[in-house]
Amino acid sequence: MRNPTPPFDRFRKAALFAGLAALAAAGPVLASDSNNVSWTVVAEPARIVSVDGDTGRFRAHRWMDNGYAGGVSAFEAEATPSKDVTVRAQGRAIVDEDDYEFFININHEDRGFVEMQFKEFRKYYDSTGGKYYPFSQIGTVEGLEDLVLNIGEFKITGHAKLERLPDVTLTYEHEYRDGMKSRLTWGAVQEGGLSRNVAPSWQDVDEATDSFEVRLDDTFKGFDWYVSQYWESYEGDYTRYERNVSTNTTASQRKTRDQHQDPEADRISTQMGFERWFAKDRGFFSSGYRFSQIDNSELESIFERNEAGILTNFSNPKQIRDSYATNQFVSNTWVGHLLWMLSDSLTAVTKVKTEWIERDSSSLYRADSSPNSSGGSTPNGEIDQTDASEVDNKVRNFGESFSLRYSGIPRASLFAEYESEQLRNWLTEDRRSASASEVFNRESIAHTWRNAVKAGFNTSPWEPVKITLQARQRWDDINYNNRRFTEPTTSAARSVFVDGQDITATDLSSKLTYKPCRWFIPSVRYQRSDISYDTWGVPDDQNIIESRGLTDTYTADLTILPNDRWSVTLSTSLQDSSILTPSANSTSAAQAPRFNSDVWSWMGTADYQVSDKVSVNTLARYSRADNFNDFTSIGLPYGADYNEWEASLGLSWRAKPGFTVAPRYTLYGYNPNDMADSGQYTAHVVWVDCKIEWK
Amino acid sequence: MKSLNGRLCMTLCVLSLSMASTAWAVETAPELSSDKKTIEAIPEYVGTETCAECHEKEVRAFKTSTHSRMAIAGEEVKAQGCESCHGPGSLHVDAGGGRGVHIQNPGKNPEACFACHSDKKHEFRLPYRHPVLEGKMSCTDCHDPHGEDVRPWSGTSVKDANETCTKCHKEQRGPFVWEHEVVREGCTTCHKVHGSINEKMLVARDNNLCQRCHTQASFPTIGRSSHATRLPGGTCFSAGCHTAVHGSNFDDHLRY
Repeated sequence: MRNPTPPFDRFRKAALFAGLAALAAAGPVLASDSNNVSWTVVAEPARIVSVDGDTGRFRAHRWMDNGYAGGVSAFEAEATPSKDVTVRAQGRAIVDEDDYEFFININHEDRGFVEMQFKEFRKYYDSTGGKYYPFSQIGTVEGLEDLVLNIGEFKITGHAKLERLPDVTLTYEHEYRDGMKSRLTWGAVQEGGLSRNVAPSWQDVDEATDSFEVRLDDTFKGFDWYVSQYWESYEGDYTRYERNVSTNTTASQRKTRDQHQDPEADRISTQMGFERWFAKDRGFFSSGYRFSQIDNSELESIFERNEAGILTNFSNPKQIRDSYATNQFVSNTWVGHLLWMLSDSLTAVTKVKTEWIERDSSSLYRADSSPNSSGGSTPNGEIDQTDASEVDNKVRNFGESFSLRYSGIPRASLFAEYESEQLRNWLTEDRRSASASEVFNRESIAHTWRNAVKAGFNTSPWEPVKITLQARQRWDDINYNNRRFTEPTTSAARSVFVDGQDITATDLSSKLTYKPCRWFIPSVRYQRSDISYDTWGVPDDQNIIESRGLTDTYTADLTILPNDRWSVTLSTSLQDSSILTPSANSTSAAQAPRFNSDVWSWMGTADYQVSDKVSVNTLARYSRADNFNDFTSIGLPYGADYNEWEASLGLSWRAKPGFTVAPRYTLYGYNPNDMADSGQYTAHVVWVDCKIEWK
Repeated sequence: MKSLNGRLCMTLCVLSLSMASTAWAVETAPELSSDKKTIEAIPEYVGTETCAECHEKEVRAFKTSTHSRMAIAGEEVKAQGCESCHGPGSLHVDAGGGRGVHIQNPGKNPEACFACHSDKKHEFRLPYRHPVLEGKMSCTDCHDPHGEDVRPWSGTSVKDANETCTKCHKEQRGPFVWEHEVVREGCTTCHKVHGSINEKMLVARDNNLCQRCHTQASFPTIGRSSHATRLPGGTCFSAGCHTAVHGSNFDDHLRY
């Protein structure tokens, strides 16, 4: 397991300082012609965070680290060193957060532009696992202290406008993720005879993608056309850690598993298209084609160890060595788009799509599974079982949509859309194994029909009132024609057990805004999403199983501007969300009651202009989630249950023209239901920003 | 862990570079922005036709966008077309245009999108979210507000269902030998992509997430295997169970 805080590597360091050096060097150059320069710097000499409580949870929620950080929170400059040339630069560098952003664009009106950008930021993860409050000896299991993932990209683009030749655009991009993240593949915590999966899991991530694109754009006889060629190379190196914890001395209850995965992928993509407006811009037609191929491979090993870190095979071991997989995915996609203004107030839009996909995959799964025993045995270092998988897949996909837009009713616009998709998915999956329970064979043709109807309007029947409404109904009908499948044995399942599924989704979105005057603007918004899943099994289990997900979201906003000095906004949002499956009616210990994701939030801001030079801004926010169902007797309640709050007070003081100092203080708090979760914190954050600008 | 000296060194270095450059420019510039240049006028709406005088290409292309179907024709309603997102443009026009000159850029400031999509203002403040309000992402990283399809994918788009997500989340892209068919339905089947109160932005944190599809009349038998003692222990994707939920190269049951 490597250092959880990876060092700042040479490439990123070089890119950052090259950018900053360019900015610093550009300063005097840009400023040499002071009439054409605008410049803004927001320095953040100090951001101090003090956390009382769970620092890891604070960092994961707030995307910032405990302690001191400083740098430049925003930098913007624009200059026109000559008549045809514009230089724009933007940047950000909060050093201790590895939070960097740098962008520079040099544009010549007639010749093209060169653009470079670099961005990196950190994502923090909480390293604790779950909580099962009936456990009396083991509380929340702590993981590693520092789960941090650096995410970044570097991109350079050059665009040249050539006389009598197509415009050329070259783009190179390097993306990366490097560090450690949490996973939800929680291990077992055993206390006496009771076991619950609440031990934290995490993953080492080291991933890089390089891509290069060449694109040509031009116009020929009124047709705007383009061609692009794209290459991409991706490499990943991941290690996922599982651990098990127990109060018992049973060795298998304390085992660990590390899964190493090394995927690589190369992708090429050729895309071309053209478009044209015609009939004096009353009509528009475009068409495009894309060929895309991904070739990937993966090397995987799993190491199962006892508590002392020694390779050990317990019962049903997972001791995997150098398993190898390859996949090739090829898609050909054609799209067409036609827009036609039938009249000044009626527009029709038609879109079509045809897609052919082919996938060819195979893998070898190599296990060192002997000897093994409940008490643990040392693996013999030989591959005892190799499972070979072969998968072929062909998909034919056709999509169509037809929509109308009508603006003939005064102060209103209406639209309606019908979308349809037909898929034929032919799939063969075969796995050979010496173990009867791992043999798997299936040939299936799935036909999917998707249909969606949408209608809506936007109207302002009189000036203070604005109403928008959109309703959508979607039907997905999936039927599996299972031509070949593995027959079930006493120890192995049939290879297919779903015969078909219907998904019906109803979505409604509406908003009403009332603006009787400039200083008083209330609005309300309501959204509903109702999705039902009807699933039925293979012929001996044709009962239709119904599940449902329902979400209602109510949002209300009020903006008040009592005078030129005051600005107040108030906002509240209630999300009432649940998922219900037939398992809620089960009388077994596997019963899973309705899962709720309800949350209610309130937020208010108030800004006051004390004088021409001084303004005060405040924010208060409170959020409450109340979803804990105490069904610990049959399982784990996972519903989020917490109180969360935030209060902020800031001052902006224009000390002299073009120079503003803005200190700000924010209090954050998070208090979860301690029967369901840990992670309580209170945090104090102080920022000091100094803004300098001139033109 | 970096030392305090190291942190302060780096911070001072960055500050010095930018402040030195700033100071040099300040010295050569005649004056900083003065109060006399402060604009006190209130901007007015000018109409999309005025925008088209300079931004002809963008206005023309916008007609093909799904956002444009919300535009109300005529001059009776003031905030329409371009100005419904970019704000009233009179000061921008009077100043002769220019990037960011008295005009909103929704690509930089999500508040412009929140004006209509007000529920997202709260979703981006839920505990598990994409960092739009932190300034590390913007709405335009996933959505093209001028595009033929504003949502990242549709049944008639060149992009497939998850291409926008897998631009960053490469590990889940695949292809995998053993697919999880639900992934083809889209990442939003299981994830609330703007923000969620559940970890990993899940729609549901417990087994209900999976049992929407994987329930049958003989529950707690799933397939032909009884899960009566396994399901109470934790989620379907717990260690030792179905950990490869996005697809597996080696196991048909997505166990590894």
